[in-house]
Amino acid sequence: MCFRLCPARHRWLVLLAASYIFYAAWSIPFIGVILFTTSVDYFASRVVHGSSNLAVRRTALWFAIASNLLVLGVFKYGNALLDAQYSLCTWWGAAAPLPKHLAIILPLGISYYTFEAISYLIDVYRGGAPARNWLTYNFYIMYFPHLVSGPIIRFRQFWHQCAGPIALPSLTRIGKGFELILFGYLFKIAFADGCAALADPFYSAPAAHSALDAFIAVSASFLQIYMDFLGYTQIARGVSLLFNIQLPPNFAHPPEAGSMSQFFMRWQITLSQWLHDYVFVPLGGRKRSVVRGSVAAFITLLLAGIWHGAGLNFVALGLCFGTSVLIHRLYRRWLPDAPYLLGHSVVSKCTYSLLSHALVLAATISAAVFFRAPDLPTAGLIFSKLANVPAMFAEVEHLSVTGHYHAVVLAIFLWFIGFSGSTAERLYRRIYEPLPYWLRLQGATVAATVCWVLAASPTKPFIYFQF
Amino acid sequence: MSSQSLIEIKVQAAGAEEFLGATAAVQAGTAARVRTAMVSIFAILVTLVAMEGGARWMVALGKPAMFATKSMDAKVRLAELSGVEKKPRVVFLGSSIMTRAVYPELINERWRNHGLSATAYNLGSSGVYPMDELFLLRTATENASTAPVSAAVVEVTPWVLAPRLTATKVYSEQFKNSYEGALLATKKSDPWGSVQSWLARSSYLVRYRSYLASVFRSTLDFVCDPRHELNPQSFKRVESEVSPHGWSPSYLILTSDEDLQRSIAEREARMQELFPAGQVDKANLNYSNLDAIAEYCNQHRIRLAILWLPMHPAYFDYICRSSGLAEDTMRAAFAKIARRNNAKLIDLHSYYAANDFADCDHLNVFGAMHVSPAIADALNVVSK
Repeated sequence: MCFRLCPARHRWLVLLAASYIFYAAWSIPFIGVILFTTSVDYFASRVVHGSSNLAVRRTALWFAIASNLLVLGVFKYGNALLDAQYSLCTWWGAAAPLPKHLAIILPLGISYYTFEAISYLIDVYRGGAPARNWLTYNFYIMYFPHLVSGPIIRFRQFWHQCAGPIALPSLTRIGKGFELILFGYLFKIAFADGCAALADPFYSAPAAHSALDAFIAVSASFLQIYMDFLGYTQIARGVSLLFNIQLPPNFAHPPEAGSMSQFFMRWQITLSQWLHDYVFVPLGGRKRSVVRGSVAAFITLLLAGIWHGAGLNFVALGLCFGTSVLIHRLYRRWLPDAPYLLGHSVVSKCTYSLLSHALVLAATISAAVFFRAPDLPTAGLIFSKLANVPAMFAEVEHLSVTGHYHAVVLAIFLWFIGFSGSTAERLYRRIYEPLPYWLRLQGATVAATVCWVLAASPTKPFIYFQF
Repeated sequence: MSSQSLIEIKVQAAGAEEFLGATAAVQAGTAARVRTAMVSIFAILVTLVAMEGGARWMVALGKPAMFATKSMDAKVRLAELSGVEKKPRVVFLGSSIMTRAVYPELINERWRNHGLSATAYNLGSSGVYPMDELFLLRTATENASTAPVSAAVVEVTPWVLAPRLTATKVYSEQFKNSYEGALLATKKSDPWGSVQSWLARSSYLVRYRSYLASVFRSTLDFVCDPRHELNPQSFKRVESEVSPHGWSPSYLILTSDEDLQRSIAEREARMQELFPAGQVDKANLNYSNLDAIAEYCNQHRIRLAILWLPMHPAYFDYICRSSGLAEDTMRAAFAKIARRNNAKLIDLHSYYAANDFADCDHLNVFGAMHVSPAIADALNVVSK
């Protein structure tokens, strides 16, 4: 209501106030962390933009980036580092100077807004226009639909929509916004929480489950992560559309990727683009040298894994990402005719495509294990179950004897859900979108009622809120 | 009429036409918007009516419980009907642990032999919170036409000590989401409460919302894990009949270590939630979870006892390790709860034999027959 009644040129202030209220509802003291980092970033960007001295510009840039990373490091990795120093001192036989563990609470959205801050600083350094004033920069960071878990938007993309008066959204846009919110909630509550019902019992006690259980649970956990994050992103984009601000999409049907390189172009698109522009390219990823490019890709994805959390399992996640992309880059470079190794016929191409997708499946399942497992030994136990293919087939055979094909059907169904994203989108555009508005309204009513009914069961928090 | 006046009239008429034309355009736009709004509202209402019909059909097929579970439905009826007893009643309140462990017919026989005038009823029900137990106690007390409730025996487990368990001061989710629970929760006098109450009475979508969600989840469960049916202990699926005084015996004997580990693993998530590793503060244990029941008993002159039933020793060790609480700490905590609520503590925690368990925390029929006479003897004083 305030947004509608406010003059168009001041609407961004209403959104800024709403963003502060949103953050304060979680925690008032942690607003101080954002105020500190945005102040440092803004004043550093003014120095970078205003000075012609390269050394001064670089110093200001690195100072601001370092302070952002320091804040992120303290909150996100502080306890891991304290634990490491305690273990090291204990092993050495010396008294640890620092405590083993502190009650550090991770500020909401810190991983995302830190990356946005760094992208802003580097863009200003590279010649982009800085924010007009501290408030506008603050608005870019604090804008609540994307604050918690992205998508990570660049300052110029964002401010381009808010620099002038923010017009009220059209009815079509409002309808689209509500539709995105509804679909997002449906993905979360029907698909993600449904998959969680399969995955959670397994991850709480993996030793007590069989090989087939492991495969189904890990597949379900990958889909849970995907649907959970997709759902959140849709809700964030839908809410933003209600204020006539577009946020970029973050997913483009990643399970349908034919290679891991393609997978990262479809998964968390904005994060991948950020890593590409601010880590991969500066590391020399675009150079002609295959080795240099591959090393840059490996390091970039290793950092992506570590960004997810402080445990060794996240380091393993990064190694898994990096290794899979490295292998793809090397074999694409050294075996350019690989797609035609089996021949040029349609069957050969289909076989090659199937193999490629199977490899992507294996890599994403491995990543899902590292993501969900609480530690490396548990991840190792899960992998040992997944590797026990004879036991898996024996279980399937036993199920076929009893006539209970459900588990097998389920496993196929889970992957069908994952692979049918682009088909579903095409059907939506061809069949659903041209329908008369009242029919679409009925569809939305059914979806909203289903979401409301399913919300009666306890729902799980969004997974990426913890980052 | 002069030509000038004719021209004036024509001009005026032209102006009026323009004015009327503009008005007509505005009116057409407004009419279209009104039509759109009416069609939209109609489409939404038709859809909601269709979904209400679907909900009624699903409820008619599934016959869900009135209260939290069908077991609780039975116990509420028992609490109501037992009011016509001729002797004072002693009611046992708790979860499925109580439901399986207390054999009231055996207790009554023992009391009869000792000349005691009281009748025991087992009102335990799976998954209840203390507030749900209070609801059952209130039902038993308010329906006492000839037989007052002279004593209430409430089960205590290590869960009640969990600092995080503030939810025990409210009804359980399964109770709140049931038909009766929804009506109870919406019994408010404010306008919004009246609307909620009306919706809960009129619409199956609202009233049975939780049931409909559970149908979806259980369908998913059935598709996902049909091996529930292939469970080596498939006779676990056999539900025993409830005895006339509310006992639901279990006919399983826990003999294999694999079954023990599986039943412990099933409770691991709850354990992690209630006693997160490394965060239990012994100085901050929760002693107030039974306060509401104690207050009610005090007001209605009902004697209160708290009962600590046996658990499988391996499972108890696991709880002690996970929570960081030793057996003595728990015993002291339960004693404190008993003192606080002016209740008698009946500690039968170590009162079990080798084959007394159906799973890690439920006694089977042998366990119930072993422990019930001890309960009867301990309550001799309370029930007089």
